[in-house]
Amino acid sequence: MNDVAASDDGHDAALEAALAAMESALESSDPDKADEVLRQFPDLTLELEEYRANRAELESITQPLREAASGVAGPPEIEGYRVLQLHDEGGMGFIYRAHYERLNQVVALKVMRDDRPVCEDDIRRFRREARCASDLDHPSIISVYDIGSDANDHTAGDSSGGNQLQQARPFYAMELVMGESLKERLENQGKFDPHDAAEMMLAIAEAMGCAHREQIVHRDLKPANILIDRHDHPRIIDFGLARAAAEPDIVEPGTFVGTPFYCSPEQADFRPHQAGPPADVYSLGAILYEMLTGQPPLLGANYEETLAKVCQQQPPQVSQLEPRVKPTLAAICTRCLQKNPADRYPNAYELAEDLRRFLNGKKLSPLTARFQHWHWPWNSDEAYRERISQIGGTLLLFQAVYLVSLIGVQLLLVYEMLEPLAWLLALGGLVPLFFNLRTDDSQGLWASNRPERLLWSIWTAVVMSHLLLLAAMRIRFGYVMGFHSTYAVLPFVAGVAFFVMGASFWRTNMLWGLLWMLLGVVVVAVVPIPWSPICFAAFCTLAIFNLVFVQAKRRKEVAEFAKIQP
Amino acid sequence: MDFDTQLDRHRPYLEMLANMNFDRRLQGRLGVSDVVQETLQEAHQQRENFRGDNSAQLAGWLRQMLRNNMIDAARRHLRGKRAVNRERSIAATQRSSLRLDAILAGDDTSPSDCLMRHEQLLEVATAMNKLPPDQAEAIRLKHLEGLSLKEIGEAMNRSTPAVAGLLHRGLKGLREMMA
Repeated sequence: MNDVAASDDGHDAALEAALAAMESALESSDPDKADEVLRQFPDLTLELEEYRANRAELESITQPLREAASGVAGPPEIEGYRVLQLHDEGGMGFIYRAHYERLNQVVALKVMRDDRPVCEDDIRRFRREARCASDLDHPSIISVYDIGSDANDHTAGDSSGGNQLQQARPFYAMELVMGESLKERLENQGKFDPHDAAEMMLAIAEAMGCAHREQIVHRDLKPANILIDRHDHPRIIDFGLARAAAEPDIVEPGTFVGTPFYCSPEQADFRPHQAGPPADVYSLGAILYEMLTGQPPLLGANYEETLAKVCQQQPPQVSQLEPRVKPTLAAICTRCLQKNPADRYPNAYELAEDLRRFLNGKKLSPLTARFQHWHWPWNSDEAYRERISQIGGTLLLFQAVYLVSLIGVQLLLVYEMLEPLAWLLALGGLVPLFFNLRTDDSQGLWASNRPERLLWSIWTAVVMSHLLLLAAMRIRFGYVMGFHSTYAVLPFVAGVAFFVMGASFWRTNMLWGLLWMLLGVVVVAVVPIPWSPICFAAFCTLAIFNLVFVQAKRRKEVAEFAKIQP
Repeated sequence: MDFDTQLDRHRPYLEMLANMNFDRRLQGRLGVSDVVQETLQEAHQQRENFRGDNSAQLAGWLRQMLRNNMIDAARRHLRGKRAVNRERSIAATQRSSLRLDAILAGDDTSPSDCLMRHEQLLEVATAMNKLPPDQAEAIRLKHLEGLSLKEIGEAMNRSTPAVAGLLHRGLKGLREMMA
């Protein structure tokens, strides 16, 4: 209310303007400017002088407190720089906004902290940070302009001649990026659109690939260390824990460096000397995971629990948390997050390659494609149903071919003729089966992922036992009787196959396994032997129809049910 | 001065410290005055345990309790938040209050200095509480948070001359009260 009265009063408005000019002059901590303001407003000198005196008095009390609270004992004085303002506070240094006279531009000046005891290792690490960043020339890595130390300044003041190393404050000047960090972006806007996340990660991975080629490992990649500039371009900062891959490690074994959510299992397991480029790849994977799903891969209730989970547990699947993510992108993420460094991308450069392939819609490298269906036979019946409905048509076609060939076999047996043709039909009819065992990312005819390998081994075993049974029965019972007996025993073999599939794919397969065996009992005990091939053919057809029609229908119901849910 | 009056005299000082050390985004939601109230009540209940004889030692004892209560309050507030944010925020609170301890405990090397500075702060905090709220806020942002005139203008949604006026009148008021 004072304020309103004041702005109505002409004299006070003029005074306020003068006061504002005075305050700005005092903030610039240039005494000449303040005197200039006094000259500018001669009739307000008394009020302005009073303000200046009162301000100085209160500052003398509050300034030490404020500085102590921000941990800074006053801005550093470094030749060639005019320090403007504290910008940010990192683990190892304070970052000031400063005017760099040589380039005549405002830079970010990182000065080693002096508010806690430092040892030589800290200073070496700080210098290395500056050196690592300055060695790298990449648009997505912050450029370093200048490296130095303000040793003169401090040792001059230290008349006792104490340890010079403890007094020197190393610093380096780098480009000042205005914008938010990826951490802030994630906090403010949540998860990214999958395509945007892949593009952002591509830029980050390319920059880290450049670092890895220079044999530099960052070791503390996290969203807070990635700034996003005005053009939405990521910039990597803070090589505080970086080291050259070949260089001996400053960090002692048994100590932990890094941030638990994004640190690699080898770092979480206190084996920092093993943390090479694949450790950075893990961190990049964890960041990608958070961009896609909105949460880091592994969360513990506290620091220690998170570390333990990073060492032992598998993260939830990306697609479970965010169904919009394509399996190929999820596979890239999964490969980064492997516990064993040898299973990850060997460096960020190769990660960038695969991200580029994904963004261009090309096939991923075979080593990554392996991870595409890494989980599906184990925990997703839905994925299996999806697959069945995709290949339903092919399955029916296969069944039609097989049915015709079995009818052919049955007819040949009735007329007891053309034995070689019967062999051809019995086994040839099974060949199309193998074309049903392929998944989306098959490479050639051979199995290229785990579920495919499982299907291949089951059905190859079935076909092989079929062939061997035929041969054995033929030798024991002759042509017609041998074929008949084989088809009487075959339902048991098929039953075992379905039963095993039930363990990995979807549980009703086990029921079908039991039904097959029951059929075997019925055929052997009850049905006249000459009709066993046609019995077998009929039951095969039934099984395939169940798979294609009943399962596909159930899948549709599930999908519709999901649609109704809000 | 009896113990309870002494405690009450520290209320503005504790509020000032709490304000400086809570993450600014948490200040409003956590209720700084509640945390201070809780701290003073706890001090009242445990007055048998206080083993000091001057006001600087009392302040140190209170700061210790305030610090623990601040961390507890941050925990309570953040329970049920996403685990990531929770861990980060608690870590931030712990870090800043550790810093606060370091500041004020580090001064113990020269006890008389410390006592004098402490008395001054106590006085300033008490006087600021008696100023009109907008003047007190401007002074708090300027002299305790160290913001620039422009930043205060943005924070308080006023023009820079208006803020300068608030500061001038606030300083005058403090001057009179502390004279």
